Amino acid sequence: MTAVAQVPPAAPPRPIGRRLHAALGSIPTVVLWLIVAVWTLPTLGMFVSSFRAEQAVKTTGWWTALTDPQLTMENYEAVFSTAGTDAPNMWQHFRNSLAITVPATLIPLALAAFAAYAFAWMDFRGRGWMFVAVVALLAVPLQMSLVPLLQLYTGGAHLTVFGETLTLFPDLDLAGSPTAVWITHVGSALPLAIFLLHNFMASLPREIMEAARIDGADHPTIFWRLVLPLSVPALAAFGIFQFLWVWNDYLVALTFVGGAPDASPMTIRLATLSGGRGQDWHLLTAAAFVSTALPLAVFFALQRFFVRGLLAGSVKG
Amino acid sequence: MAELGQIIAGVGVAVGVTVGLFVLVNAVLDQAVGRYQLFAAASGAAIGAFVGAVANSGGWFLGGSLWPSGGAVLGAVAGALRGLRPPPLARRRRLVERLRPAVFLAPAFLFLIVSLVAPTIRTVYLSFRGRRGEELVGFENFRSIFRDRGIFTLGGAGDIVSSRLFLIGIGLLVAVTALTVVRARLADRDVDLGAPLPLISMTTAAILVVLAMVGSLRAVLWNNLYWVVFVTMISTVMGLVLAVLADRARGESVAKSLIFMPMAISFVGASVIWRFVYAYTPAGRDQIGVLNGLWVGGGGEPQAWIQQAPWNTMFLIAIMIWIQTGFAMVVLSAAIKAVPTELLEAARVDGANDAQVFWRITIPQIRPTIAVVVTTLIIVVLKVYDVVKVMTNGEFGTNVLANQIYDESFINRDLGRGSALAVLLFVAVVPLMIINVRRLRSAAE
Repeated sequence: MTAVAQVPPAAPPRPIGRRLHAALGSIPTVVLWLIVAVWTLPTLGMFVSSFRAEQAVKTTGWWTALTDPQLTMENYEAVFSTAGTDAPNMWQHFRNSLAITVPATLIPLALAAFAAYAFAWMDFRGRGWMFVAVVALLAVPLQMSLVPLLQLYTGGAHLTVFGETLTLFPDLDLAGSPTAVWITHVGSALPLAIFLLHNFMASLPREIMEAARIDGADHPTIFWRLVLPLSVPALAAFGIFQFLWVWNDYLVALTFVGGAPDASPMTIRLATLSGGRGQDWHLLTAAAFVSTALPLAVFFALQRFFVRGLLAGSVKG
Repeated sequence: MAELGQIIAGVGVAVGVTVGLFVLVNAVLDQAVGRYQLFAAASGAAIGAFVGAVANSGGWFLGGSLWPSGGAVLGAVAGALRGLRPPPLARRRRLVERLRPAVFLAPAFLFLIVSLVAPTIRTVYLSFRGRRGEELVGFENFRSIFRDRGIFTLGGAGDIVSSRLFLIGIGLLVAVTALTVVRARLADRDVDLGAPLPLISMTTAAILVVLAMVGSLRAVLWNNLYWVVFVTMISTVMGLVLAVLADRARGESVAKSLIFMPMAISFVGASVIWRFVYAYTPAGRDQIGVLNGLWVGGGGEPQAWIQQAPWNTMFLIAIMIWIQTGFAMVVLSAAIKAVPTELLEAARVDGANDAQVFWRITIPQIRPTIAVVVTTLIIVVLKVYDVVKVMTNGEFGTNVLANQIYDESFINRDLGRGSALAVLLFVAVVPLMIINVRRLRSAAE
């Protein structure tokens, strides 16, 4: 009987029902992580492959590297080197991507902020239908503007009236330059940007605006000093969405700089490498990771803004 | 080859000019109240320069580069003269009030018109004209699209009815409907086809029927339909399942990040990643793709997954599902967490079990969000391009609308047909976008 008394009361035998319940409770965790494993496997395979030697990538599965790791940086060195080919290396494509993405993000942000402020806080005739017209442009797919824009960039736009040719848009010879790509992105980004920023700015408290007006502030002052600083969360959300959208874009870049390797961004290079019959597979692995490094860094560092921007912007295209 | 310094300089100039012009024009407008003459001279110069540039570009009169600057000088003088007798203060104030919105809106409108509105109108115009846009052809482009058996066909439609998938799907549908009706009669209740069991089995039946179509009906427009059906359905359901699982699992945020990560990768990057999964080497050699590795390990013959019609389309669709499920999960997860806890607790107090709470409380509460996810996915998938372009270039019977548009416009150089196809895509997107914007607006208010 004393032996029974010596059993520490802290560890009573758990009833079988509760243990079953605990086991059942861990099912969601197990299932979730199984799906996560399947979901990450493709990316993991690519990542492992990028550190394997050319011969190994082409002849054996990447999973063999898990038991017999022979890792090398050769593929990364190869995509960044200029030796042996005339083709631009990955650094060049990285810079081209930047040259397209940065203006294609900053300029629509600025233009949309001006317009969104006007729609939200200025009184003028036609405000309602103009805003509806801008939002209606959201429905226009990119494909609707590619052919005319290519014609515009290569020959300008002319109108013949009474035998006289009037130049509406000069021939700037933009095709094959990053400028053509980012101008296109600016136009197609504006409806969404104006819509989102307007929704945010219109929700700012009316009392602040009225107080500022009573203090004698005019519209530019209110815009720069008050509304713009208050709109930083919306600007950041849209900015991140637009940055990733343009960085990851393939269609617009292919249309306007697809034939100009010196000006093409990384997505074009990646697709070209992928188009071969497998002779460049070892380079493809490294190139894929170089091109996704920046979006992934943005993703992990600014996930909160990223999610917000994506939720709001996912209707784009 | 542009160097980093040049790029920074170029970007700085572009952004600086945009913002600088806006600030400058606002500053000029500010002068209208205090120093009217300055305002009048500056705006006169701007108008003069513009008129001069237009006149010059038309090659009217004598032409020459002096036209814009000459116009500016003339305009400035005229403005300064006008400014000698400024209008009364109240009218100047009103002028500023009237012009200010124009200054805020003009830059955005300029870009919108040049790179969106005008091209869209021109594409519609081109869709009614010939290859090069020279002669009017009426609806001929649209007619030729629907006569093109590669784009739209009903050939093979008869095979659907006799396919096993179709029969199983229809059988399931009939059986479950009958079962639901009989059960409702026995229990003396109304027939509820929205209950979990009928809903799930009807969805399954629909998927089986569409799978039967994949096996028989193949053309560009049909492929788009398959993409829309499978990506939208599977991504939404998977997203919902993952959102519910994550809500009860450990390591929720890390797991969600990993599922969501493909959204940050470009479609091109995702396609490259999946090329490795689907890679094929002939039998007898080591397989380098995971799928064939598993398949051969399980005793199968190695398969060229993305080249064998008709099921290759399904392997491409899997890539899109891989990308979009994270999106559906994140949106639905936020909605599930926003369901009021009082509602859930009240249901539990009334004796509802987990499944009942989910189907009767959570699902109705998040229905608007599900609708947003579905419409958004349909819009994204209708425009799918990169994945098909990179994986197969539209070959092996996998072509889709967006790739066909690109091929017609830029490879066949048939602007009429390319534009007509683009108009088709546009028409398909418009109603969805109207639904989506309405919802977004009501959510924002």
